[in-house]
Amino acid sequence: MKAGAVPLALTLLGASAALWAFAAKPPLAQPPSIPLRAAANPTVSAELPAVGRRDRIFLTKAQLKQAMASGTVDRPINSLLAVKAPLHFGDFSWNDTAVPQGPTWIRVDLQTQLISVFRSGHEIGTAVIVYGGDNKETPVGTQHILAKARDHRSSLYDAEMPYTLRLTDDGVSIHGSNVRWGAATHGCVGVPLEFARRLFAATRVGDEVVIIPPIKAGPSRTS
Amino acid sequence: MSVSVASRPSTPIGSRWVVAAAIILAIAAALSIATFSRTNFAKQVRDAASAGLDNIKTVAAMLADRSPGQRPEGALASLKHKKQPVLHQRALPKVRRPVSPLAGIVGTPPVPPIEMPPQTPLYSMVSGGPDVIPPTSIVPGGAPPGSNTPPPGGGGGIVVPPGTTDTPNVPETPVTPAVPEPATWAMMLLGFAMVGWAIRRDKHGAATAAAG
Repeated sequence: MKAGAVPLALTLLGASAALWAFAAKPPLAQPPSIPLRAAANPTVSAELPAVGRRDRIFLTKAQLKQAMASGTVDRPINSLLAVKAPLHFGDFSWNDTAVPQGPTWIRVDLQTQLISVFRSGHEIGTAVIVYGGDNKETPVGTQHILAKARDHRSSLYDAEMPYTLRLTDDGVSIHGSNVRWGAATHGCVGVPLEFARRLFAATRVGDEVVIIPPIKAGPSRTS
Repeated sequence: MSVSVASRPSTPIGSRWVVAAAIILAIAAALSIATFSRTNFAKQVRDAASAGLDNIKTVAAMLADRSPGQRPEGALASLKHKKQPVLHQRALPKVRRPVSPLAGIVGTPPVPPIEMPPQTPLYSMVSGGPDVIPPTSIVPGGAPPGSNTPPPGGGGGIVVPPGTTDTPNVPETPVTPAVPEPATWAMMLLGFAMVGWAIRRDKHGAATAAAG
């Protein structure tokens, strides 16, 4: 009996050790990593895990339905960045960790003075913008990026416009700018410089830019 | 009996090994489960709670939460100052009507009202047109004596209280024209010419003095 108990215990020990070793392995094999343009974390999964993310708010179906019915977005989106506090002028938030490659589009909201960049339905960046003043209004509607210029200098206004994404034939663009309170542009959409650099890297010619008009408050003024 | 006696002391030893193996197995299983899940349960609960709070809001509300707000309409948002409609109205000279000589006389017989269309004011200093005059003001009955004084100030567009009548044939003061007369122009040009001649002479004199 005693001689038979020792091999039994050893077998059990070995079995438990084997079980432990098996369980300690990662539950899923890592998918091949997708090269990111501006990612801080190199580990990328093909699907964005929805559970346990505090930097991102995943929309429910009801939220998406409401957003599309009210015209907040004109196409399905999956998640928004979780911005903890209201952004100030010049602030931005950028997080494309684990966001897969896919179609990119830009949403510019003149009402809330915000820009949002979506890739594969996930928001990867947002910032406060400045936009066109009363006499030089930013064109609203859906535009496409016509051209990109890293170091652009406006011949019309004799001003530096770094990281220009040109939207219209008459020169309205999204470009790096000094975003501060009370400022307005001649029709362009100005974003913070570092945000413009990332936006320039994340977009390509032909990507869609949806510009949503501000809601004019109060009675219409008579002139 | 002897078999049973001989086998008795071996039973605790065997059960002790079994218990030890079971403990080791339990520890290994616990460790493996902990490694497998790799997550903090409390953290998951917190995440679910916060996600639930976020999922109450609409997308527009979430965007509005991070927004600095709508841009205020004002001078800072405008590259060019907007035209102020009030400031761009033409400033016409003020016309003073003469006070009626019957104003101070008490007890004069009432002036018979004359059937005439209501006098439309030439312009409006306040706002609006002749429609601010209530239609009862042109009804000619029941005018008290001595009250037929035109309203002071002489401006049109002032609301006339009912029961008074405007004197219709008050002579109008001629309005000063905004464009000057040709004689005024000529005099101004002559003055400019004289000033220019004086400056020119002064400069020439200084130059000759410096040269000489």
